[in-house]
Amino acid sequence: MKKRKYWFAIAFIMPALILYTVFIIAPVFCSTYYSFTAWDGIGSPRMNGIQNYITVFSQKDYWRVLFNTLRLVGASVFVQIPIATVLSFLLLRRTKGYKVFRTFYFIPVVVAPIAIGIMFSVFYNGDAGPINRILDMLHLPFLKRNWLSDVKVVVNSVIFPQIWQYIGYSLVIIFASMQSINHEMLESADIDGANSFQIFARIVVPMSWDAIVVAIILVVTGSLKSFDYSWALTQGGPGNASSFLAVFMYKTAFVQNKFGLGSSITVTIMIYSIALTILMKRLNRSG
Amino acid sequence: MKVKVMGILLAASMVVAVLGGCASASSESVQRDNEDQEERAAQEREESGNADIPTIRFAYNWTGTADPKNAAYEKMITDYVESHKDSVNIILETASGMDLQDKIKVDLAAGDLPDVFMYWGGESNLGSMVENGLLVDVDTYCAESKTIRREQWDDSTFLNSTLDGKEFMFPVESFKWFCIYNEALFQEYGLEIPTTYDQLKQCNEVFREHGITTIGVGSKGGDYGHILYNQVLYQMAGGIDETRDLTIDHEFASEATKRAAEYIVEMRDLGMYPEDTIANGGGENAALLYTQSKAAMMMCAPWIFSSINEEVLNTTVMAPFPTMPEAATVPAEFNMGAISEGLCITTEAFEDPVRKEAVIDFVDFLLSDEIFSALGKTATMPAKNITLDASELDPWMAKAIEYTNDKPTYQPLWFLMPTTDTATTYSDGLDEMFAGAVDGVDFVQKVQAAFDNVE
Repeated sequence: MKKRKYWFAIAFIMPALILYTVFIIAPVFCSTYYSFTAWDGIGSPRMNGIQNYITVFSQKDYWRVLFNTLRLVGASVFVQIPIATVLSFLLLRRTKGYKVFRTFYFIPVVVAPIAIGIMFSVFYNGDAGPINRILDMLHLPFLKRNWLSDVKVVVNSVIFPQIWQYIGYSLVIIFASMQSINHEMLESADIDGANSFQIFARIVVPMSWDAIVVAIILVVTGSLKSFDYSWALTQGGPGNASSFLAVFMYKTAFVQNKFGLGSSITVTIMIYSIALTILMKRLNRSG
Repeated sequence: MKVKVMGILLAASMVVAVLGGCASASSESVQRDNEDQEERAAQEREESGNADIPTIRFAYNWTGTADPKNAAYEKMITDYVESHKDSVNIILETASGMDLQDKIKVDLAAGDLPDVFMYWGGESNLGSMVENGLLVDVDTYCAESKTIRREQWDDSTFLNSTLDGKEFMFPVESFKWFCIYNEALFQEYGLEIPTTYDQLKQCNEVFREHGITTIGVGSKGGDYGHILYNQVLYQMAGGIDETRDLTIDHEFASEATKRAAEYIVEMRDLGMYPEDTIANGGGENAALLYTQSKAAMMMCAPWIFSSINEEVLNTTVMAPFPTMPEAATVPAEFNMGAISEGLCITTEAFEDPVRKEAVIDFVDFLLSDEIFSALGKTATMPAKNITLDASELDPWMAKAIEYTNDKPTYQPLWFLMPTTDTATTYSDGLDEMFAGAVDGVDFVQKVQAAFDNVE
């Protein structure tokens, strides 16, 4: 009887397991294999040991792109998550019409990033876009920039829309967790004279911390593979000034036909993702 | 026990999947892939109710109805597919614009190239496919074709598809670049259309005072900054001759390329381009400022006319780009142009006795005068030698043909890049130079370094 039950469970698990293995696990192994080969996408890959990794790590552009990616990770963790947490708390405190607000916050998440990217490329246009015009109207011309051409600001221009778009995503995760907090506890805190900040910092955030960590892990791994905005807005340019690791990988593999080298960049993205996830889990545990 | 069985199952499914996924690298598995494709095709034939007819795959990017060219082309193709469905099963695979390049590269890596496909010329695009014997050369095809002959195209149209003395792509769309001016803007500010660089600088001062961009050219992915760079470069002494052998001698850094880069930087510093060169670069935004009368002149190709509003078009004139101070060749004496897209046929399909006849019939249709005439009516310059009825042509297309006729045409440098690496470095470098991130010397050095790395 026990055995039958057991096979029944396996029968249910197998389809998902096979699909996951074929479409997720297998490509990871394949990429790792290709990362040790010289392959232009045609014919057989030729093993070249760790040459691709030496080439990748000796490229100045790789380090620049990695730095850009870390900036995006930093912005996601230190800007997007705090905003999502604060907004979740405001919704939790039963702002009137909170369901409408929650829907509005979530709407950008369901829009294709490429569409948002194209919309922002119009906003950002330094010559014909509305941002510089508004700055002119507000008599703030010193704030005008060439948002997509100035190498000093272009990364921030590319980072901003994705932070904005995915606030709703983090919000939904964190808000769901906050909703599970016992309301009597919050009411007691109110009665005991705790102000909103104290309730937020001492009760709500600690009790939602696990969900916040999940949101952080998701935004960090999402940032490490970020592609759409950089490609839609600037194609990673000028040069690689606004490229992230995924764009750099795409350019290497699909534009330059260096699939082996591109795979080695993919493997580094995977390693960073795993390392950062482990690090955050450990920090969470020790915290 | 439970853990053991689960572990075995997990490991087994992973090993099977990994072997399945990675095995396409070996030549045996390429053969296996091909067998799989044939099985799939047979299955498709059975599904379509006719197991005897061959199946061929055609990939193209002129799809959708937004562009008249795409609409006309796609309609003719779908009509052909429909009318021949009893004798051949044609699978149409579309990817719009430059996405086709990604599609073909992915298909290539998967060993699953379409039988016939549109593609771009140049060694960087075709080189590795030709090296691996994947494409049929033009003469081999013509020897078997019923209607298509090599002489139906000018020799010059095969320039960017010739590798090791053979041509591997039938030219379909040709293009020529020329300079257009919004005459009304020049008149409004009491200016003449500039014929020299000094006059251009004077115009620029006036336009800048009134918030108008003088040259509406940006650079995103090299588009279309590379055309302006080449327009200046080909005027310089050695600019044309020294760059013709780029694919052989790999000598990019020359006096001409450096001097042209210096001029591009100087024009940038004088504020002749849009402030935001990335935002106003790329194909999609090429005419953004010009069509709003916010730019006085720009480099134009036939397909850009559809992005310019009629009011501005009515005040537009074509005239040569201003002559630079040390010009050895004046702009009025040359055109810049090439073949943008052509038709490639895979060796595998061509040599397959089951599909060969159907492939030839279909390709003969794709290269027929009927198709090229239809394209000619939609502001596309047909690469094949056909006589177009001027009364049926798009009026701006007719003007462009007349304006660019009877002058030698030189290919933009981008088509002379020997590898994808040099092409990308060149495009990225142009973006940086136009945006002010690097100067002319850095740009030339960067591109030369990419040439030095070519094996």
